[in-house]
Amino acid sequence: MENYVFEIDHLNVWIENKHILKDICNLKIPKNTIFAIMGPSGSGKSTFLKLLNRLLELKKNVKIEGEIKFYGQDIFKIDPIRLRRRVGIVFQQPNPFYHMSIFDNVAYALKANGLIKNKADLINAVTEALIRANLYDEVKDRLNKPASVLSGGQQQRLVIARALALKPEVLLLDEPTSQIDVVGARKIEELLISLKEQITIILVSHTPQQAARISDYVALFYDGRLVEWGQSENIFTYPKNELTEKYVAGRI
Amino acid sequence: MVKDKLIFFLAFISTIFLFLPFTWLLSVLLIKGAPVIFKGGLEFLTGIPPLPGDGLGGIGTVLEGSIFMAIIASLISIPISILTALYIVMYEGGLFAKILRFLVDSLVEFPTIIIGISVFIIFVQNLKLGLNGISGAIALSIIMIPYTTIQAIENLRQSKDEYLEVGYSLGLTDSNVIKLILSEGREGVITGILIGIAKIFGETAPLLFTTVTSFNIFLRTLTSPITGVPSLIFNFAFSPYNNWLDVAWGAALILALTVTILFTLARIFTRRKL
Repeated sequence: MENYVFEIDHLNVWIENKHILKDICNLKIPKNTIFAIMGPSGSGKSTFLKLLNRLLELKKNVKIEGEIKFYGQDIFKIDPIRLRRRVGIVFQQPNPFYHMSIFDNVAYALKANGLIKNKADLINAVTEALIRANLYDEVKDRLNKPASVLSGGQQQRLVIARALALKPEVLLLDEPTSQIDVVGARKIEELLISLKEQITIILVSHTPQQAARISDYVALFYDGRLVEWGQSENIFTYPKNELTEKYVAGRI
Repeated sequence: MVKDKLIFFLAFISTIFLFLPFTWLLSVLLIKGAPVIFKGGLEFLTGIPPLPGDGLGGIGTVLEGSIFMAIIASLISIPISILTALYIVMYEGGLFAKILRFLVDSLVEFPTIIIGISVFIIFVQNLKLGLNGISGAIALSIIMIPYTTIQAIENLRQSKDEYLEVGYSLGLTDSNVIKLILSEGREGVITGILIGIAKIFGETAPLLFTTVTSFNIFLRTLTSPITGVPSLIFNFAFSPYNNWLDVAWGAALILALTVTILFTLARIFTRRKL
């Protein structure tokens, strides 16, 4: 059982009476992998992602039915604040704290949550997070500069470092490279591959190409339904479902 | 093509018409006011207004009064505005938030003379506060609150859209998420405060009902009978004495400069946002 980070069964979600996720059954996310979720826009990918660290519940009129287990434990019985420290998320648009320095961006959550009080420990934790996010070498001489001096790709890695600072076990990413230039996107993809040894990565991908390049497992969502999921090589080489075949070929 | 050119031409003409009154106003103020200020020197900013026919003196008393009232009005308005804006933003869509928003929007267009009369009746007469800087500041704060609140709402909403989810995703508690939203939206909030101060600095009508019409008293206690620059201009400009007219022109230029500086500062803060 410990091999799966998340196990999802009979999941239905309504937002403002609209049925967004329809009966997602028997979806299991294995530990230390890159699990890609793909599908056309409006297929419920982002909703699904935000469900996993209970961010979705911040919205009004959300109704959730079904089962989501995090390491075997019902996530709806876990304190959301604790859950979110273990399951980090990175959004599409790089959103660092523009008013803060690069250092403070990474240190912020540690300080605000009262996790680290000692200055030396804080410096170590920030340095470690920046190194893990492959950003340290690019920013080490200007840690006190505001985050706005960084390029879009660097800002996105800063945001990843900000999430990594809390030492999460899972990192959720919602189309993290769709707003980034090609070089910046490649660096983020390389980063994700290097991170999966330590943590589990669940990635909503905006193109099947990206999913094919970096994911170990992949799921296709279509119109709120889970069409198919499995090991990436199988899905991309021998798709069982006609929809998957069409999506991978770029026809839907 | 011809149509494009015509529209461009009309737009250009309108711009000129917008420019004309502004430059005209500024030139008159400079021509009439600047010599007065140069003649009076520093004394003009710190001195006591003159008796009829008795030289230039200064506007120190009313300038002090205006600054005092602006500070007190800000102390009242800023916390109320920020907390109201925060409530409206965090509970957007709720009935009470909608009512609050409606009230704030209505207050913005409310005739300031009526605010003056109301404060006169409630605070000056019934609560026996008297005609002084505090009563003036209360009236001014009622005028300032909607401006600062609306500006704060716009900026905090943007900050909320951007950082609410981020804050929660970093495992922050509710109060820390609110701190984060305030901190990231603070420049816009400061802009609103500066605009609010600029707005009340030139307000005349409410001062006529809540402060005195004698201009030669410096602030000794919080309730000293004082007033602000606009009421001095209002009274001196209609007087038959030449030296009072000069003082009024000088005071008008000082007022215009102060408000322009506040607006410029507000612009600078807005631009720093990105």
